Amino acid sequence: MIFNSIEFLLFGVLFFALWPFMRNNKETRWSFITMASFFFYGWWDWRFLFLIIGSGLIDYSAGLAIEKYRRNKRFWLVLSLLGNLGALSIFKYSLFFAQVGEDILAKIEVTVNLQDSIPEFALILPVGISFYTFQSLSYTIDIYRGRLKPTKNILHFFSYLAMFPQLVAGPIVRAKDFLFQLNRVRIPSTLERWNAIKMIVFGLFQKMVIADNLSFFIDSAFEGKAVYDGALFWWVVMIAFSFQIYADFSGYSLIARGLAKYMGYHFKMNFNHPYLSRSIREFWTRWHISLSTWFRDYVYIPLGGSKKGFWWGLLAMALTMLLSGLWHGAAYTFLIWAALHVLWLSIERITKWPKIMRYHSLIIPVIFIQTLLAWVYFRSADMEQGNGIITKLFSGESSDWAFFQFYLDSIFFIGLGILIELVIFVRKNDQQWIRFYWRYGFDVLFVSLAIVAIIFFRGEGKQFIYFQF
Amino acid sequence: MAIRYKIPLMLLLTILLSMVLKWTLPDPIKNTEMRKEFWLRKTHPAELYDFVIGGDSRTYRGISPNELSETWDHSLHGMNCGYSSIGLSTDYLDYLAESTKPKGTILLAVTPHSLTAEAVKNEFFNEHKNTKRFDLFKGLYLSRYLKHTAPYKVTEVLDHLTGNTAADRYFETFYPDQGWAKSYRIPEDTVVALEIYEGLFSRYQVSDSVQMDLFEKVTELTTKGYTLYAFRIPTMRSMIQLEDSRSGFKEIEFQQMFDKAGGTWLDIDPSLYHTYDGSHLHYESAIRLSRDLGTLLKNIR
Repeated sequence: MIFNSIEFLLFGVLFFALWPFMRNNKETRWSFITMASFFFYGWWDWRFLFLIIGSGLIDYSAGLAIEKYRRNKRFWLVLSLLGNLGALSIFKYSLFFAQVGEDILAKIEVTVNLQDSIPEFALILPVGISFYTFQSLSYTIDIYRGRLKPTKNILHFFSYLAMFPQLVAGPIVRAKDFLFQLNRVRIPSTLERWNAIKMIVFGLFQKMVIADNLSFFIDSAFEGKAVYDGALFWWVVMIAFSFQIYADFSGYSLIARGLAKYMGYHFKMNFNHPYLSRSIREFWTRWHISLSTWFRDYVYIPLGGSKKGFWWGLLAMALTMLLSGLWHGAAYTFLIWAALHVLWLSIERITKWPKIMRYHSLIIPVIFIQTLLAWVYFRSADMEQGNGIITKLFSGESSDWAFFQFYLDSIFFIGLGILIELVIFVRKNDQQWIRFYWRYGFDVLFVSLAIVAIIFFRGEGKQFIYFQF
Repeated sequence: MAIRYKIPLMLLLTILLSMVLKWTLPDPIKNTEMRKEFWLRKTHPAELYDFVIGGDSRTYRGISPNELSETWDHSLHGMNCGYSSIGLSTDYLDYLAESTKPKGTILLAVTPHSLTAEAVKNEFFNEHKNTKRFDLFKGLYLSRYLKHTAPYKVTEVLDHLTGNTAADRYFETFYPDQGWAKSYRIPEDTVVALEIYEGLFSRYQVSDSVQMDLFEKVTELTTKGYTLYAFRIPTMRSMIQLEDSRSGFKEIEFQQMFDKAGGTWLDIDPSLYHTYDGSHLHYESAIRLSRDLGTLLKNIR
């Protein structure tokens, strides 16, 4: 079930009504979280449960085996990696691998149809598989590295792995940050509850008001239903998409964090106004932070990071980014999206231009445009469409301005998204404003306005974009 | 401000703001919540009807079953089972028969597009037919309450506040208990649909196999005791000319085959009605057509 649905509202009310009675005893708490989370996940399709339970059982057992048989710990880790990455390969990448295989064979003039030979079950992508696979992997890797003690209680493990707020779209929570939280009872204070409500409401606002209202405009452009074209039109479409994906994903993370906070737990921040970044490197410390740090800790640093010299660092960064691209989706377009980020990051590392221009007024828009250009491939159905849009963006081809009028209902929300970011940018360090804001309870007004907007100005309900990853 | 006051104050403020908004603004032009109920009620009927009407968007916007009963027979209860871009497939006819009482009446509003291979894919219909159980529950039983929270478009609020009545608007009011949608457009634009249909018929043509399957199904259903009528739903004259010249539809042949299959063809004069977009009837014409159709059926019986 998705957060912006009636069924989740009912589920949430029931869960939080029972939570005070269930949280006091460890076993009861873990059982309750696990069962509720399985119900939440099984709502999509109960067959998905087999995969998460299977994947979880492998890692739970591997964790215990690594601890018990330290001499063979590498074997158990490999087993865990094979189990997790194997499932991910089958369900997420089999079609892509088949396509790549076909393309390579076609180069040597051998025609085969690998895609049709994939069994039907492997074509179904279980919701959130990339998220919980990475969570599960971090568990065994941290035990292997001696940074975490495995839990002996399977319910404790599953309450971590399957916990519903972050299960399908993150943030990717590390076992070492969360297992110990699940061990204790923590009743949130009134302030924490209020903050949790704010997170949930602002998260829903981002998703239902900003992201959903932009979808009609973006979908009609990318699906070729729009009668408008030209450079200006596509720039506006891409600005809209940049804000849609941000609001959609950041909204989900915020709701997840709010729900966890209301339970008495803490999830780390996943988005920190990424479009206010002054370099692409900074962008990656503000965008999907839990994934970036996951790749940093489990891929980039083990590859040697920047310690093995400048060029090796570049290579490690490129490999990490490309893997991150593949994590997002099994298609060439995601690889190009990642490759563009590799390009931007490499230029930054070589020239250090963002440091030189750090206080230039145009630095933030320039970085935003760089991310926007990469988003073109992220959203495009295929390479041809992506290349076509990039060409249009720089073609100078005129656009019929009537599209502003036609899509005003969507374009208004681009303006709102930009305005919110601008206000945060201008006011975030203004202590006088912050004091004024808190003293007179402006947050109450903003939460109320956000709820009213969610009810009366929500866009057409859509699934969260990141569910597909 | 003390934290303990924030949650109650927020609730109070939200209720107040919502009330002010609802009090200030008229109902939304498109009620998305009613729309859900509208489609699901006709797709998953809780009762069997004396008569059903099948066809595409021209049908669900073009015929009111209640108005039709008015002039046909007061005691008859009908449902408009029209869907956007529906094709007259055998599955769709089965669904129409399943929604009708044994030996009931099925009225088929024919358009050339509904006889194309593309239309009989019936994606929109299937989407509603395969609705998950909880979504069905929501659509059938909660939407009528949630309709009060139907969202507004920013432009309609701006137009209301600025008194701008010249804006281009499409109005649609759903009647879930009839399956009919009262619709009109300000200002009317009778060219817009012509352009769309020109494009459609350059890609899709009326299919012989779709027609043959339809006639077979008509024979099967009439043998089972259902009464089937068909008619070409009125639209703008230039649209009829476009369809006749570009779609491959042969009306005379279709009539003959339909009658031969066991159905009854009804002739309707399209010049009596007017459309707001070149395709769909203005609601006043839709009401007139419904009543005329009722009179026609009454006279046959």
